[in-house]
Amino acid sequence: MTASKEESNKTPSFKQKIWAVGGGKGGTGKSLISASLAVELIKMGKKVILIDADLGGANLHTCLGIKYPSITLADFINKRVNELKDVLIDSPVDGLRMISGASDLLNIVNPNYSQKMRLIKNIRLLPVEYIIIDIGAGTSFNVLDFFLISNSGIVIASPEPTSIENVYHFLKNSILRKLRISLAPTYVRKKIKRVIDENVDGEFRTIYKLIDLVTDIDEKSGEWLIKQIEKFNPILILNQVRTEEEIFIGKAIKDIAKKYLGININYIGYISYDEKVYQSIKKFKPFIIEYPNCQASINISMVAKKLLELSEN
Amino acid sequence: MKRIEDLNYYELLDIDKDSTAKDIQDAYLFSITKYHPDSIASYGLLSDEQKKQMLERIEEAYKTLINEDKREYYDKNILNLKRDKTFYKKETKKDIKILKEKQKERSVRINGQVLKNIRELKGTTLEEISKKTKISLFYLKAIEEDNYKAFPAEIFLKGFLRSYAKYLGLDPEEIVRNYTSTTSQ
Repeated sequence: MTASKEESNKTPSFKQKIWAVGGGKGGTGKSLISASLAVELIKMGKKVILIDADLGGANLHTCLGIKYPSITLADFINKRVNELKDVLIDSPVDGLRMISGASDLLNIVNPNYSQKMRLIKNIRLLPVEYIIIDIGAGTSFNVLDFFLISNSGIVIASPEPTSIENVYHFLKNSILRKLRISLAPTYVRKKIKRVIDENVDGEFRTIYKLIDLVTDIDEKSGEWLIKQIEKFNPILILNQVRTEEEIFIGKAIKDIAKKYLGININYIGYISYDEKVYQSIKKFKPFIIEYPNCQASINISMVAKKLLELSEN
Repeated sequence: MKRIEDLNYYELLDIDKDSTAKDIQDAYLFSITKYHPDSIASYGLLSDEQKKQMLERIEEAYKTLINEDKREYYDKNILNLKRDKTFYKKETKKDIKILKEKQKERSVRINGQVLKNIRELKGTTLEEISKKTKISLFYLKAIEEDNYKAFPAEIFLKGFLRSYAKYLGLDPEEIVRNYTSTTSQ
């Protein structure tokens, strides 16, 4: 689609909010939740752009019912177009535009540093108030960097050991990545890097260990580190919840992460396991549109409202 | 950022210092489900040894806070908390009714598995409970397996459950209320 003149202004007049949806493990419903949150925001009258940054397994377009995206992120990364808004496509949902990540090209799956920075810079220039990024699975630097540029980093977990294991891994790596790429004075970053590099073999069962090691080298760097960790407040959504007991797993993860990682998670809610979600996938339609009154849709609405409150306060 | 070793008993159980006995018991039950060896909530982050250490501290925190005299001593001498003596008095029936309503949503659901976890963590066998309470093993197992049909009438379930909970150092009335509200769903 062609961007209007108004849209081409470089500085948006509103405060842009970026929601990044990740969580480590594949198959926990990141794409479906990203798409559903976007639809829910549109229903609330918000302007939204959905980005599929799951470069290794992009299928956000399919969740929205677009089988063959006409233009994708690959066209931007390979510089066939200059601006990110030039790869925006309309979705079947009225008012919702998206950027598809679909591509088989290896250089898209693993963009280099300058490609990634160009993408991040251009995401911030998109003329829209809400941007939802599906960052995909894993904890590679590229995944983590998309997570860390957001105002609200959303972690999706399902109540099963593999997913929970990956969530902790994701949180630990996110905080370490945040510290390494932070704007700290060079001497502080060097000290952190030294400690991380010297302890690559799983020393960090707790972030406190890292703080101790850095503080031992330099007290001020340790204090700076604590402040950064306190500022890191990811949001947790539990997906595919089948029983009432499983709802409590979200609260348990929050408590454990606070005690053992020093990370303040905000557990904002859960989405029930719902057969209707599966049925809607087969129909290439977002469940929130196809079955607006199913349990999963009701849960998504509540979660979206909470996210909105957090973003706007 | 407070470290685990520096957490006081209230922080260990994730409760306010003004918590009621019911809050304390709920938090205790929830903590056990969190750090139980079979719990998936800490999977991938905590080793079995870390879970064991945490459970020991939780047990210590619970035993202190659930006992009015021990709690008063702890508050006064360890936390330097100054509060009125009446704070430690048991809630009246009216207070309990109000609190139950307020706390209904926050309650941890008690089922047979939760009770079994607590019993195992305390190192107590069903045989031991059976011997002391004179309740047959069959009914104790039925409680832990949520096999409500095993009881001739609800009154038997409640009575046996009360004795079982008391033996484990839990509030019998609260356990009965919570367990039976779960079974009636």
